[in-house]
This record gives sequence, C-alpha cells and structure tokens, in this order.
Amino acid sequence: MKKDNKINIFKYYNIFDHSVLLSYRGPFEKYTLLAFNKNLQELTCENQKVTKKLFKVFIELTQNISYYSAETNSKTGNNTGVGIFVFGELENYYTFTTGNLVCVEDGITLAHRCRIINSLNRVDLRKRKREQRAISHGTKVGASIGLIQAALISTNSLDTEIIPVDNEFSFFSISVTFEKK
Amino acid sequence: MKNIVIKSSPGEPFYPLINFNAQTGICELSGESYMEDTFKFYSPLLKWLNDYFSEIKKPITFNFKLTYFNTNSSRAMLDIMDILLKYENAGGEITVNWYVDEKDPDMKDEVEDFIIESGLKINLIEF
Repeated sequence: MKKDNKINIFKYYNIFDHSVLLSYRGPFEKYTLLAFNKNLQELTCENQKVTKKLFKVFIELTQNISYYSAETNSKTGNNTGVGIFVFGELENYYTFTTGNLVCVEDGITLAHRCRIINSLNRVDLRKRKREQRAISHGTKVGASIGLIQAALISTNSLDTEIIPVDNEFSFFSISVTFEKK
Repeated sequence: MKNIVIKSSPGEPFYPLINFNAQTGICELSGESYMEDTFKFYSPLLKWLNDYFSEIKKPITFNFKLTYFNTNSSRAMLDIMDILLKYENAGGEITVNWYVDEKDPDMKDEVEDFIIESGLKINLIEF
C-alpha cells in the first residue's frame, strides 16, 4: 500500500460509537467467523435467549456473504466472500448488521425477496420456508431461506437497504434486531 | 456392513457427531451442523442408509439430537427423511426421534416443519 493511500483509522474509529460491541470487515472465512461467533456468545451471555438466536442468525447471514458476496478474496485458499458486520447493543435490544457487494440484478432480487419476507406473518413465513426448501432439492439451498430463517428467529422484520455503487454492483445491507426481554 | 462413527472436534464444530450402527439399527446425529461442504459430508451417510435398507433390511431407529443446523444442512435432513419414508412405505420398520431442548422453541418449530414437509412420523422428545 502506498503512503498516500494510508487508511485513516481515526476516521474509521469515529464512525462507530460506544454502542458497537464488535465489527469486522474482510473475508468471511469460516475459522475467522467461528472466533467472532464465540466472542458474540460471550458478549451476550447474560441473556441466553438472545445468545442462542444470535448464534443462529450470525451463521445464516455470514455464510450468505461467505458464499454469495460479489467481492471475494482468494488468500485463504478458497474464493471467500468479503463483507462487513457490526454488532451493537442499545438499551432494549441488540442489532446485528451485515453488508456486502452484490451484482445490481441480484440486489433487485434480494430486495424483492426481503419485501415478501417482511409482508408475511410467522405461519406464512414458515410455509414459504418449506416451499423454498422443497424446490431447492438436489441443489445448494440459496440465500433466500437463510433470510427467511433470520426473520423467523429474530421475530422481527428484516431492515434492508440497497445502495447503488456503480453500473455493475450495489451494496446490500441487512440488519436484524433482538429484543433483550 | 461397517458402522459409521464420526466424533466431534472442538476445533471443527461445524460437523455433527455421527454414530450409525448396522448391528443395533440405531443411528444418531448430534451436536451442530453448519459445514460448507454439506453435500460432501452427508452423501456417504445417505448411501449408508440406502445400503442398510437393501442389505440388512431390519428395523431402524433414527435419533436426531442436533442443537443447531443451518439451512443447507436442513436440506440434508430432509434427504435422510426421504430415504426413511421410502423404506417405511416399502414395509420397513422405522422409528424417528427428535430430541429438542424445551428452552429452544425455534428448534421445536423446525421439527414441526419437518413433520409437515417430509410426511414422516417424528417423535418430538423435549428435554
């Protein structure tokens, strides 16, 4: 890295306030994620209900990035998806947010799927998960079921955003909330 | 027919503990399942079940004791259930038990969804 491209770490530091307990940007490699997930369990150990739910949602959302991010890193041996996650704590709830680059068309599809997910009640959401899983027979289960699963486990709507980057890519972010009570 | 025994490893918690016993007819899957190579991991287990049903042809008890599985692994669970259901429909004797922590309502929902989706009778045992 050239000196004039030096990262402004102070600027990066100031973006996050004290509510951020853990954040990471880089390749979503399985052993790295394992260590972070363990850390998240420790950070929420006072609330076992949240700990269990966070564990499950963490895996679904981070594996989506690991498998499907449009930005990859091959330094770990495989083409591992690159993204970012932020875990934060507020007075009454925790938030887990992930973000990654997606192809523009995939972003449109993801936004559409999330709108459907947020429009369904729990019974219909479970029905949709069963339907999606049935049609995935013989193939790798797509990101869609992971998003349904995240909504079911958190029991809250998925807060998503698509930010255009250029003609080829968009940035897709998803935030999941867990009530402390 | 050989048994399949795969022990869990603390450094690799992505893989469940497996104990498929051809002599007793008891098969168990326990721990967590969220590996990257789902198809590669579960294919030999599906083959073992098909071989058991064509060669041994005895009753089987399948115990699911998973505390977590990701969505890719859930597809593999359904593949196992498909094989069990085919054996039962062909006259085979099967018992399927799913052990669920009573403090984990999400897992209970998962098992109820599997019952609907697979058409298999699954005994939900809370502990």
